[in-house]
Amino acid sequence: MSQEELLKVEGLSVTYYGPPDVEAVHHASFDIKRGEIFGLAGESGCGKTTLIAALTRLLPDNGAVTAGSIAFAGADWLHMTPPEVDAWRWQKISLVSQSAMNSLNPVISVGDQIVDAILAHRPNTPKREAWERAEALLRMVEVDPKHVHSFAHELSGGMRQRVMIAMALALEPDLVVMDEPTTALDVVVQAQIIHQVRSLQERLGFSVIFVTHDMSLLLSIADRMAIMYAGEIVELGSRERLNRHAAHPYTRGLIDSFPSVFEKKSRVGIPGAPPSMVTPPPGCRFHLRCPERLSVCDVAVPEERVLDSGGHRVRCHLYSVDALRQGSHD
Amino acid sequence: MRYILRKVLFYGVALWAAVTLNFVLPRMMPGNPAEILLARFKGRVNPAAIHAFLIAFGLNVHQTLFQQYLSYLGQLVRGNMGISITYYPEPVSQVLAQALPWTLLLIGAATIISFFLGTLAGIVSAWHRGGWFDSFAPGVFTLTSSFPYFWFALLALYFFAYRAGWFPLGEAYSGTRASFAISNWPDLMYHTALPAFTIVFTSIGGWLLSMRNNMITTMGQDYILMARAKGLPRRRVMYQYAARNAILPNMTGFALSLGFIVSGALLTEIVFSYPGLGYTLLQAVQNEDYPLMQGTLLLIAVAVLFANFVVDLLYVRLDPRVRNE
Amino acid sequence: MIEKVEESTASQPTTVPAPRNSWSAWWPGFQRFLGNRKAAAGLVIVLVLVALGVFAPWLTSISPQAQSFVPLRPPSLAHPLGTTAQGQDVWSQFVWGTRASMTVGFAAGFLATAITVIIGMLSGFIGGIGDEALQMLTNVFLVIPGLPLIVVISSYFPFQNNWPLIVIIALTSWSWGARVLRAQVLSMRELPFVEAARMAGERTTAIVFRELMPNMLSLIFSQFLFAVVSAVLTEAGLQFIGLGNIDAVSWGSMLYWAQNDSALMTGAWWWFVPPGVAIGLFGAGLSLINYGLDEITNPRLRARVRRQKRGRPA
Repeated sequence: MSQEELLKVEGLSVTYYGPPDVEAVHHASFDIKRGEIFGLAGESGCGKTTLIAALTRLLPDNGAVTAGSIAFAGADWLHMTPPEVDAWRWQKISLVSQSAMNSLNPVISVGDQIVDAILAHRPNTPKREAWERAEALLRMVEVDPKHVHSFAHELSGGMRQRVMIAMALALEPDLVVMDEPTTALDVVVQAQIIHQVRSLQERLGFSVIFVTHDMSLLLSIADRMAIMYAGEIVELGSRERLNRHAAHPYTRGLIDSFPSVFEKKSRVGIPGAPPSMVTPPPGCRFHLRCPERLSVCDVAVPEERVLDSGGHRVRCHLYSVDALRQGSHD
Repeated sequence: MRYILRKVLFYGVALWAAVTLNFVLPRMMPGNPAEILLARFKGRVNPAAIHAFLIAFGLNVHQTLFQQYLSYLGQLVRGNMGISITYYPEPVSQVLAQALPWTLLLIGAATIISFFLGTLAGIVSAWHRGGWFDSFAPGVFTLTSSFPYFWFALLALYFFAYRAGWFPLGEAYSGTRASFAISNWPDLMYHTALPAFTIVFTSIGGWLLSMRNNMITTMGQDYILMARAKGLPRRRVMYQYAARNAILPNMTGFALSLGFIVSGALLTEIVFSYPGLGYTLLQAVQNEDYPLMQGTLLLIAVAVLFANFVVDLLYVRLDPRVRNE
Repeated sequence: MIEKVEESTASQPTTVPAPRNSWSAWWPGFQRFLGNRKAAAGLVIVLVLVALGVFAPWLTSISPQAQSFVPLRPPSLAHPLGTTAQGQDVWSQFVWGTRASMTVGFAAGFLATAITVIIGMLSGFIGGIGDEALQMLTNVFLVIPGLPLIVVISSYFPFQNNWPLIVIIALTSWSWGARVLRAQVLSMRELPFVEAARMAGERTTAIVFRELMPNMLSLIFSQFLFAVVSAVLTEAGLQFIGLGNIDAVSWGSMLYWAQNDSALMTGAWWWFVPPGVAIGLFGAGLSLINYGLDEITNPRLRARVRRQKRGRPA
């Protein structure tokens, strides 16, 4: 696996203009290497969908990036003009979204929608060749190629999601953004699709951003991952590190709230609900729900700390030297 | 093809309802229908014709109601709808046969044009939301679609025909004989333009507004976001993805409000003395020409049903989901 | 809060009003309604016209039928809207005609909406064969053109007063709304609070009227407004061709007599224009209220606020 950087996000903030105005992503920084699966986890409403929308430059009209930068394949992605962005779309970055049912145009055939993307970016491709490519793509995700002529409603949920993946790979992009691609599926199909993504990724070498709220899934598929809470990335690290040394109380809560196949642990979960993003809580945004809260957490915003040479970092007072010295639990 | 079967069944029932209503209505008149009709027609047409009409229309007093119904249906199947009083001795079917093409030309063409222009305007309005077109078109056409068709028709007639002299003062053709020969089409267009314009002008707003709403709802769908994510050209997203889906409810709406539009458009015919079914209906009403009135009502109903059926068939082509139903 | 924002980037089903289990929650809704520009403008137009009709006896002392003035005079101080060819006062005809047309419009609209609610709700809630039959009935009434039917009926039965007309207009105009309501009921019957009521063993009628109705009020109201507009237009059209009760003063009969005496051709615009404009404004006013309602229940339709984006393009 090469360690070349494909995408570098620095200090990214996104605001939706209201009323009321809401800053849905606050100062997010991370990078994605070529050929890795990068996980992004958090409860619904934590800003991960917004972060993805900013990365794909598909924010709705009332949303805007207010700070930060995104370097994508060496280019200043946020400052590219819309025609430039359109040209890069699907060639360099493609998307598999949460609901395959709603993401396929119900009135034109699956093949048409794949061919559409091919012809939009490679207009000189002969039609027949584009259709053959569509069939080949379906075969690649183990869907009978005769389904190029099918419509979305004629396919099962799992097949639709495979079609979406095939479509996302049509132009062999560098980065595939997968936004909860398996949430709507049952566990068996989910496992098949995850397996498929993994093997395709190993074969073709593209990078993946895999968004989910399912920590156990992420811990089995992602090379590295970031945990989001209330618009901030609170922890980032490799799978191995997070598996064994998850640092942030929130991350530990997330891991504990999903049943593990291997360990007999009771599911704990996190009490309370995510805070309002209109007026985020002062200090650490997690302090209201944190089981290990210190007095400093209510007032001071925690700095990010790097915990090891592999880039494991966390945004929590438990790891700040001063706070440890104070040491007084509430 | 369950969808088509269902539709055929539905139109069968609707047709039966229209035909039966037509049979029931005159019989609900207070008193004995035959006698009332006889009294009305006495002195206006000869007794033989009255007798022929009573037989033809199934108003035979010596039959039971059910027998009357059967003979009415029998006559109808043979295209016999009685004899017109107004145009005596012409049979009703013949009068209607002369009127129908005009209505198809005027109302048919105007309605289709209005639907297409309105839908297109709705697409543009929704796509460029808040743009210059969107900021005035929905408002203006809400207003125009609120006015009675005939009132606008009268104003148009007064300003563009009477005052400005750009258009004829009514009727569908110059001279005394109608001709659909190619050489005569400029004259037909000359006569049809103004009434057609008033129908388009007053009915376009409905299509614009409903298409605009459908578009806006559709544009929030995931597949639109997906199409954008694919980097497709804007036009393709707008037409092949957004409009292509948004037009489906508009088509259903088109079929279902056809009856309403035709109702209004019939009055336009009256204003312009345009010799179609609306004008014929007025003639029949003014002359108490019941056979002609009934015949016209039935034909209008059948025409609307047929147009609906055609739209439904078109719908099957446009929406793959109903094909597998 | 944030959850709502995120939703707007994903798909959103047609908005269903939040469950309100009582009839008393209408006041905040009404305030929101007044805050909508379109709705407020429509309401003002409609209220002015309704006031004209309601206060007709105080707005003019002249009988609308009295043929006691110089015919075809243009507007003056004595006759704010001039006189007709028969020497009647147009202003007096206009305000009394407003009253008559509104009466028919609102009465027929109310009756039509009652039928709409009963058939639409029932059809949506009972399902099965009964639903199929009601749907068939609804669709038949929908595709058979109403005006020609009313024309024929009213030439068979010359009306002595407005009631038969009101009933017939209602009978021919309920179907569209019934379709809309049925669809809405179908989408609502699976909602948790309806399901809960069903599991608690409430009777169907109780569920329909206690649980569903309050949540569909705005939709029903919107159907009512459409029914009123269409009733006013139908009455005007009918009277314009000389059917219905043309001796009673109404917007439609004013237009009939104006047309009969060639008001436009003789330049008597003051006779011909007011009733037409009144019908148009009334219809537009009610439509504006409807669009306002639509925007309140479906925020997607609201006009976009173009604000300056601080920060970078994205």
